[in-house]
Amino acid sequence: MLILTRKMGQSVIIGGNIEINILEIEEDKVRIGVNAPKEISILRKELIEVKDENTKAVQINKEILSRLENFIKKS
Amino acid sequence: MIVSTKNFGSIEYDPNDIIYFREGIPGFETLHNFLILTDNSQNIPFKWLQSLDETDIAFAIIEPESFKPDYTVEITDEIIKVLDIEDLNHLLIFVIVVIPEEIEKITANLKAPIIINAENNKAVQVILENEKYLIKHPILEELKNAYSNS
Repeated sequence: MLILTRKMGQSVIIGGNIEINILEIEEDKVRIGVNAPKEISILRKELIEVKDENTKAVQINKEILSRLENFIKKS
Repeated sequence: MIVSTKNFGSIEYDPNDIIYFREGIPGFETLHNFLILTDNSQNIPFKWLQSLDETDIAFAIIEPESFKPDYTVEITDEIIKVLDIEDLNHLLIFVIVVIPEEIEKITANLKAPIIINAENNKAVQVILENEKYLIKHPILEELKNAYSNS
């Protein structure tokens, strides 16, 4: 991983057309601004993780829940 | 109204019971209308969040307080706006459960609870800032503590 130190108001450019701006620094939070072409999607990483998790969650059905119930009852 | 469901065949429901996710659910952004179904044959109080738009989609959900009494959700101004909340007492909180092949590895997504305003049935899945809460929080031991003797 490339690590850079930036101050408030400074930015980095990625690939010539994506600019990441450090707008504000609080105690444990950083506000960043992103300038990028429209076709590039910008998402919080947690959102992608939650999407993946939701996709896994719908594999479940009633029989699996019943198996879990029995498993817990016996233990 | 009649709808076919993933787990309970065709059921009759009251349109007033429809839970509405304006933004859908992450990964299922086109699904907006859901029902909450209760299966009384179960000992552990899981419920089903059944999609009305795509009948094969149903999430198993549970109220986190039922196994983790200290669970708390910070209701931000943004959530208040999205759900038109007037009274915080009318909120229902659920978390989505994932059961992999090895069922003892069951997890609940404590990081991204589902919040429902029971006054208008508007709902949203939010991602909490709280770093204590994991997307894959193991819950087998907590479920055992809460339900194995009942």
